[in-house]
Amino acid sequence: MALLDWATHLLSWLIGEDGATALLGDVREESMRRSNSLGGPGLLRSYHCEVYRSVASALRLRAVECVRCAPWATVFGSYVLVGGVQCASTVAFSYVWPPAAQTTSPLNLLGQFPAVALVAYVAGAFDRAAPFFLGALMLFAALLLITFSREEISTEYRLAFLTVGPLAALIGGTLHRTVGRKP
Amino acid sequence: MIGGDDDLLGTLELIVLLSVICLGTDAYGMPIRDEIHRRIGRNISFGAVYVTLQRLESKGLAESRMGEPTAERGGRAKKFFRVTKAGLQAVRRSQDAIEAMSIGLGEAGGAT
Repeated sequence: MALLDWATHLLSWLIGEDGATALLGDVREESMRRSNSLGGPGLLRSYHCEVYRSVASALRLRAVECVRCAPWATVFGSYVLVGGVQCASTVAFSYVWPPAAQTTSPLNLLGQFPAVALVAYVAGAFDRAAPFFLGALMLFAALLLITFSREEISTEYRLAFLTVGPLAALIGGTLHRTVGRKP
Repeated sequence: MIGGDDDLLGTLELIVLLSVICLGTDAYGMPIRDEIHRRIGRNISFGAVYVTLQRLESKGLAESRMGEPTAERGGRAKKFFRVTKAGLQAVRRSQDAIEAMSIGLGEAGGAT
């Protein structure tokens, strides 16, 4: 039942409380209609299958909507800006904080955290959703690089690579939503 | 000229809107899904129906109201949908576009 409860909550999130209530009622009504041909356990299985199928479809359609309406120009523009910031900060670190100037050092990534958050904050001014897509893109890029890189990468760097950029983007976006909100 | 770039409906949107129009005042999740299955043989999930209807509502092409809870639905209410004037216009535009693009398909070998 825990799984069914979880599916119900997910449905409420995807199609709203009213929609989820009506959908579960529809599934129940259909199950009752088919109750002559299905036995008790069959009926319950059919009910569960239909609810899970609905969750899967709703998730897929919402994901497609999300990708279609993403502000890709702002996201890719800010991603390029993050790349520039990373180069500039590495050069700057070589003067003021040499241990962080190594590109494979977790300190390098940590040092870039405020700059990435700032880029995400600015991206949020163009489109409120952009920082979150930027974070997702940075996570995707980190996963790709870690998976396919043939270089030895330390665990600390892997962890920093996977968390610092996306987290900075998330914080930048959240800051823009809270601090940048007009009264 | 049939309109702007984004005013044509997607396939599922058009199918769901047509189904709501056909059902009239009895358009809620289950009959909408049944009507689609009966007419085109596609067994789409309730989830797909509701996401599509919610999108149509957000575009102002459909509107909804909650009915009364009933025992056979486990005490859950029905959500009835109706197509708005803008929705009817959108259906007409999409049908016109399909008809316009279908002219000459037979001669081109597109018809089976």
